[in-house]
Amino acid sequence: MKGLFVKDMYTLKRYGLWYLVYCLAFTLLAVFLENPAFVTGLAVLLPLSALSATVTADRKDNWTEYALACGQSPFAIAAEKLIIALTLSLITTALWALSYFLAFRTFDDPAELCITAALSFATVALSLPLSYKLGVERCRLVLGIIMLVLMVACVALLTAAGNGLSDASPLLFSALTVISVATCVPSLFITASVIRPDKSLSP
Amino acid sequence: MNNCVTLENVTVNYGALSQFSLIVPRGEVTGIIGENGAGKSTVLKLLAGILPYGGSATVNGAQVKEMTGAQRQKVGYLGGERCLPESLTATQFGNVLSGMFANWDKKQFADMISRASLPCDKPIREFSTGMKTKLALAAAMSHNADLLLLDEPTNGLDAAARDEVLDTIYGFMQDEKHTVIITSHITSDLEKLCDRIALIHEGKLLVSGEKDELLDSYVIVRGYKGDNAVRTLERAYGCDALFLRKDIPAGSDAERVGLDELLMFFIKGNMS
Repeated sequence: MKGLFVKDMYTLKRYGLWYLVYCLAFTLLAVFLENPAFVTGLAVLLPLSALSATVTADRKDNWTEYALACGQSPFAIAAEKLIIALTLSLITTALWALSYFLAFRTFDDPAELCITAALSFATVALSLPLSYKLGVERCRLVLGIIMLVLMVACVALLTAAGNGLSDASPLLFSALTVISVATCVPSLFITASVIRPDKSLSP
Repeated sequence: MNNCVTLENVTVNYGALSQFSLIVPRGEVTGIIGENGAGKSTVLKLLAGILPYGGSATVNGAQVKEMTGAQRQKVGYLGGERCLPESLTATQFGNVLSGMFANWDKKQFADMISRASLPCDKPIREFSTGMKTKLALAAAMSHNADLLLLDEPTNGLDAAARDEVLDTIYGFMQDEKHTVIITSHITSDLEKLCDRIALIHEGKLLVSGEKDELLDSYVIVRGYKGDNAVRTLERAYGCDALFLRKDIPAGSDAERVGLDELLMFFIKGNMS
């Protein structure tokens, strides 16, 4: 799996500076406008962008086919992409917490943090199998629609959180985060089955 | 276990291969010849484990679809599309591969890159076709594979580059445990390189055997009028007939057959 990571790191290196600029800009906006929702958008966008960039590069190079021929399992190929995307989800979620703390000098409401994390993980879980199942163009279109839906959901949830949902049990929000992480498991297996070249055998 | 590869009644969807059987002995170079779309690349893809198939296909005694990662890494694959990460440099590609193969030979890869005079710091997308082939070949040969699957390795190369690629394959075959399966429609390359030949047409194996034995067992009689030929081929000047050497009609002038012509007789010729 190490080689797959190295390949994706080379691919993402080209976007590294832009990712840093986005992180900095959105965090500053969140802090100065006292609205961490800016970073919530980033938590959805960044993992999605990384997945899209790496899968697109792999498709262009026929890399998945080559990796399979080199003895990499479909599960390892899917897991590697998932780990990269989830790492970015965690980084951006941590940025959200940081921006909240810098903006309000306190951290007394975990509800919004849980929603941000849940949205980011759910985005990853949804987009991973889709990016392999669909062609590059269709994948971008569908991911764009998913992104839009998730952003709307994000705004709705954050507004609801601000309007009283935060009074609900912290367990509810923790459960939401745990469920979104759990969806990554079926997502991993579905992606591996999309990659696996063992379907529809002739007699 | 003298056979490195055994294919028995292999079928691949969409008729790419149909009831295809082939045995590849260990330590030999087997050439698969056929027209475009005959199924040559399909054979290599299924052996590389990237194509679903029915029937039985074994490499080193293991069913291809059940091979472990370690067993797969004993197979070097040069695909028709070359599958190179175009945005990386050759050095970066080497770094990627060293993380993918347990037995990656960094020195061997560096030596092959340097011998082929490939630039290390230029993106692969700026390489010529020949350079890409040499790089892909270096990748396939630098992880201690004992079976090399080469899909049209000389396709699109000039004479000098073709010679270098063939020489590299010769070098690989110096180890008698190494086996090569090579597809090409440039029969002169295969005639030089191969110990065994398999002719394939529309997903079916037409004929296979040791190259010299195969070429010795058939002859051509030009302008032949009659029957009992294995195959006949209509030409502008008359009819050419392919005979088994032992069946040459008395008084006929028989010529030795080349791979090109043998292929033509089997795919375009009429049965007598």
